[in-house]
Amino acid sequence: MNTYENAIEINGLTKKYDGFTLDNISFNVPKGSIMGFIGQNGAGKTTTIKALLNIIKPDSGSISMLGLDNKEHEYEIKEQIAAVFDEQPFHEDFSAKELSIMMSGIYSAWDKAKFTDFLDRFGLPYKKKIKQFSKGMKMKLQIAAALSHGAKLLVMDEATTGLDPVVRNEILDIFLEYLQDETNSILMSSHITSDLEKVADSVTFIDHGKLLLTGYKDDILDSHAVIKCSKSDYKDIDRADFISARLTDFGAEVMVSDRSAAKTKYSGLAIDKTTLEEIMLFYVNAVKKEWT
Amino acid sequence: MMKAKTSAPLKGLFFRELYLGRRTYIAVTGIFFGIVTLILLVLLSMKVGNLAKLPADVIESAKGTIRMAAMFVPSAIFFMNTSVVVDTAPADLSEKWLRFMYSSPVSEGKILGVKFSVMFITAAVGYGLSALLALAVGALMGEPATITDFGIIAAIMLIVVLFSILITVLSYAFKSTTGAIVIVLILAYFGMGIIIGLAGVGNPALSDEELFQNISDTINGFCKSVFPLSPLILAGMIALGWGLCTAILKHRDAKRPQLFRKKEKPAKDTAKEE
Repeated sequence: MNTYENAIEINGLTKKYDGFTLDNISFNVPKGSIMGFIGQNGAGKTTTIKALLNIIKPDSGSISMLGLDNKEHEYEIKEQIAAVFDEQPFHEDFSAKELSIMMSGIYSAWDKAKFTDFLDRFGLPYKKKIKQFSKGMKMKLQIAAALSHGAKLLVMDEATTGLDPVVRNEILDIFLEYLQDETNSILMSSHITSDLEKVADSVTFIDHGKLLLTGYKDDILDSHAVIKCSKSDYKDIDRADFISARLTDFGAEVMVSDRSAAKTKYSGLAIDKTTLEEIMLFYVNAVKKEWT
Repeated sequence: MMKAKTSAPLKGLFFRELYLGRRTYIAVTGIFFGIVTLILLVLLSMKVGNLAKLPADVIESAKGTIRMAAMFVPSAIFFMNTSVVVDTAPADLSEKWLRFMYSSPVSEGKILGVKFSVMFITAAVGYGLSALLALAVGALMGEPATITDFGIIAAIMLIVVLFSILITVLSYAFKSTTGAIVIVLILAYFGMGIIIGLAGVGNPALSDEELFQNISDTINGFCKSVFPLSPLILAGMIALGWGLCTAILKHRDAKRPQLFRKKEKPAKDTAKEE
């Protein structure tokens, strides 16, 4: 019996490419939770996921999944996880029926009845070729397949990108249901921060290959805030106190990472709650400090 | 929670391999049995039917043609391998399938083991069927099949399987089936040149009859010498192809030269903004 606290533990993950470095990334995905993995295009999310799945060889760092080293116990781990990508990987000439036959020969714990239940629930045909499916149907099929072999960990790479809000909501509900079993966990890379705000327990944010933030979503949202002020008030804000500031025609919006300290120090200014999307925007522009 | 096993059963991959190649398997098997039926009907007719009424010299000359047809035409079954490789390689090498495969509990060696096992089985079955046909044709014509006949079938099988393996290995190496086919065609062209050279084509000292005899002797000699070793050569080629492809796939993040295709971007987030 393998016991573990974190479904994923990444320590000091580094991978260098020409013109891009995934630099010393460390974070944990606690067992029984959803972690939102956010960052703009080219931030290094897919590279991190590829390292998790052993698709690329990191230059340094260690990764453990379900309490096991991801290199030493690769196939043992892969029996217990499912990866869902932005594009469905199966041959388009397959139907769901044929996919089920194939998967039952790949995963020893494949549950055909569960898969059929998911198909019914998603309204997916059993005998129609995948090439006749819409994008949303293909994603649902991929998720149905991912959830039908008793996976303890789902790794999602931009899986909900490009789907309409109705389908996305349906899928998010499935994820929440999946997490009813407290031994199941999800790492969900996505651009759509509103989805993550809805379902994620924790968030990791990377940019240009560097880790900017990782922690519980509520803690991150509670600690960050946006000061909305006039340009003259903005001049009085200490630059060391904020991440970055968006200057508009009407004034400035300033992101701070310590809301309570800001409330004390700048008590005369309006300090509002923020969202993951705003946090992402302000951190991405942190190098410039001021942006429009 | 964890199971002690380190690999998954492979019947899913066998199913995928056979399913993706199903049209080719069905078409080629149909053509094979169609030709076999035709050949046997003609031979039967020449023995006891209407064709037996033809003049003896016509029958005699037709026998040679039928024997050649019985030997070479069913070799289409060996080309099934090449055709399946060409059909399935683009799907096998697509980025999305490779990502799924690498995230599944099946090793590269096993995935390719399935592919090359299917290649071995179809070659062996094809050889068996072609040899049976040669035996049947020989019996019907009253001229039993010889070692040379079986050697010719074995040589055809080995050459076609070699082409299939080369196309597979080169496709994996260059991530391009088209590039692999072009390279194999160039190699085949030079290979033919060497054989023709060895047979003495272009040698002004040889008469047409001598040249024909030389070519015939070269081919027959090659086929005879290859025949006893053909199972070993087949197994060796398959094992080598499997080993090379596995070694290529094991370098999961290696940058491979891509012939006849646009270069892929390095591993970065490629998903579109919504």
